[in-house]
Amino acid sequence: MIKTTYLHALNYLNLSVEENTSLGIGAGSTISIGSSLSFFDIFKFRDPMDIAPTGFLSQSGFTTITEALLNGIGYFPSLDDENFHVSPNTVQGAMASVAKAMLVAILDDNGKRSTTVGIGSSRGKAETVINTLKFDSKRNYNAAPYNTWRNSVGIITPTSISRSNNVAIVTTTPAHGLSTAFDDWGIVMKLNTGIATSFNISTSIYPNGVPIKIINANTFAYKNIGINTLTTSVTGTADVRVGWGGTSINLHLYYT
Amino acid sequence: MSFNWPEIPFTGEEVEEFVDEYKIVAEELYYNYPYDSVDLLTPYVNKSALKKYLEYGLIYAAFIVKQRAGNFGPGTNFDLNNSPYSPTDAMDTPEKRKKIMENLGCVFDNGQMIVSWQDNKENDPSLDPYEELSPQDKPWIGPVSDLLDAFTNPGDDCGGFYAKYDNLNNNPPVDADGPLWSVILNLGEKILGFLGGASGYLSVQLLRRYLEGTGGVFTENSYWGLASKSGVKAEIKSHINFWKKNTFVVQPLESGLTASATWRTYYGLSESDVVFQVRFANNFTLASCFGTATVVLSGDPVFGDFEVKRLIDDYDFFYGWEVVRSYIGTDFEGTPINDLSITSGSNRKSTGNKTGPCEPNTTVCTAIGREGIHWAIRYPVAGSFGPGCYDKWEDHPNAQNSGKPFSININFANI
Repeated sequence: MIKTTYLHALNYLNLSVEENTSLGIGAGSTISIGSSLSFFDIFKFRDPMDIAPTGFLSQSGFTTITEALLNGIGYFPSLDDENFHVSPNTVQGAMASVAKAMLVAILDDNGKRSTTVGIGSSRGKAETVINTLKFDSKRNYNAAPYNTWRNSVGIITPTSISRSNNVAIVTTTPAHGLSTAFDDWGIVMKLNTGIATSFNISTSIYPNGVPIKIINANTFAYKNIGINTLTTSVTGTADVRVGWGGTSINLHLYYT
Repeated sequence: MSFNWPEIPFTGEEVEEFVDEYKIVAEELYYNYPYDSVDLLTPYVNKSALKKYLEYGLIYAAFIVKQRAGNFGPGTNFDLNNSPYSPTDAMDTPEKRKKIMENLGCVFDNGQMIVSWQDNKENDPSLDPYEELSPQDKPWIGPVSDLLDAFTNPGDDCGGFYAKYDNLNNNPPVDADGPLWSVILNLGEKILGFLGGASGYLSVQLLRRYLEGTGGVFTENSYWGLASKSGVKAEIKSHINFWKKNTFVVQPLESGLTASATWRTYYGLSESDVVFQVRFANNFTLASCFGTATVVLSGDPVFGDFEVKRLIDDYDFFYGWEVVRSYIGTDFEGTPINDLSITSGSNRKSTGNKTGPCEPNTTVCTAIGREGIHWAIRYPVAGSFGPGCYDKWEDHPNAQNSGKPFSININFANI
């Protein structure tokens, strides 16, 4: 029998489990206790930009030891295995990663902004799912989804930048040209010198950049941890990427 | 074991087409598509867990399609009344609701309850009706936690494990590798016994035989440690039954009628026997025992019941020592190995092939060839060999302690 905590995780109940503070992704969770117990919750992808699968996600306690051990020997238990308790975060992250893999395998355009089932055999699509879930050195980077998922879709030019409360505000000249009809934009910031480099985004950590929020035709914001910084002129580029989405992929849930 | 697909609470042509295709691809992936599970990140290697991810992930994948389609109906634009869960099978009994309350800590403060929820799930799996993981209950947890840093951060030269081990024991550096792999195997026997039952125990026993340099042929009459022979036989049959229609996993090789006279004699094949090459890549503990092996069955599993009669293999490692067979006369898997046929594994050869030229600068880490993941399980073999590459087993300066392949020829007919 599957463990109850795993059932909660697989039914998307997370209470910010999927929150990724480094990306500025927060879920809005509310608990209401009156004559009955109710949860208002939001589920979304932990990383709304990339396609790489999540691994073990436990952060403390015996579960961390168990997961490190399992990772070391390359074994994962059945979800009804009584001998090993992996983190519900791990289970939920894995489910979300499989959902991503299925989306890119089934929809055309590598699963981006598409609702159309792509042509191709079910065998070929299954192969894409498996390629998505492989660990780094075993992936075929010449095949879907990795052959195109992290492609740049444009370059924009930041001319000034500031940071307040770990949020960076970027001004571009000319206008960035990103359509507000989509909320799946992301960037890889590549600024050149001095303090400006503290705003840069490492693709070794964020292979498809970090999500942004468009403020107006010339400015956008992104989560960037660092000291508060007054508006500073900068040179460099911002490499534009496309991911899964912002609030449009928030699955609002009501459990009662 | 068919899929248990959830009801999809979203409507629309795009969603319906997507859901239909999702189910087709999932079934192709689960039932027909062969892949090496060892290539996957660890949370995805277990097929039964992967099946759950596919089942439960469908709703969210369908939701994304619905949001993109943006057409009328439930699922678009955050109408809470259209939530797919109200109530869920995770909350449909008093016991399950009680579980949620326990995990929440019953503090009745929103922020505190969320913190408690996360902490309780992480720290106290006993909140589920299963035994608590504690050092008393599972003595291997303590030593393992001490070695975890080295397991997960081996360093460029893989020396971290030795350093950690020496520090733990407050000993000077060890020259021989025996004590180190012995520690790992003692842990491994407990762990793999929990994980995999009969084949879990056998996998440790076979590894111990390799590391002890016993050589020879492992048979049904050899020392099996805690492993049950009938249990291993049953696991092999179960694996073949699951994959019997997939020729990538269960590949026909010969029959008792077509096999050479040498095979028939050596393996005692009757005319009705069939011989298959079986990959165990989707089965962690059986794969740890045999990898890919030749298996003799009493009949074709596609056409009815059968008995596992014999299993034949060479026990070697591409990151340690490998066996090169000539396939002349009786020099094939399962027969005694000439020491001159033992050479460094393909990960230690410049061409990546065991018959290729040696790469003398091979380190333990490059021989293991993995980036952290699956590292610990390969360490005893690669570490006991040490760095370097040798064309012949006897050329190794410490050959007897470097591990030694052996052949496997198990007659299951009377088990």
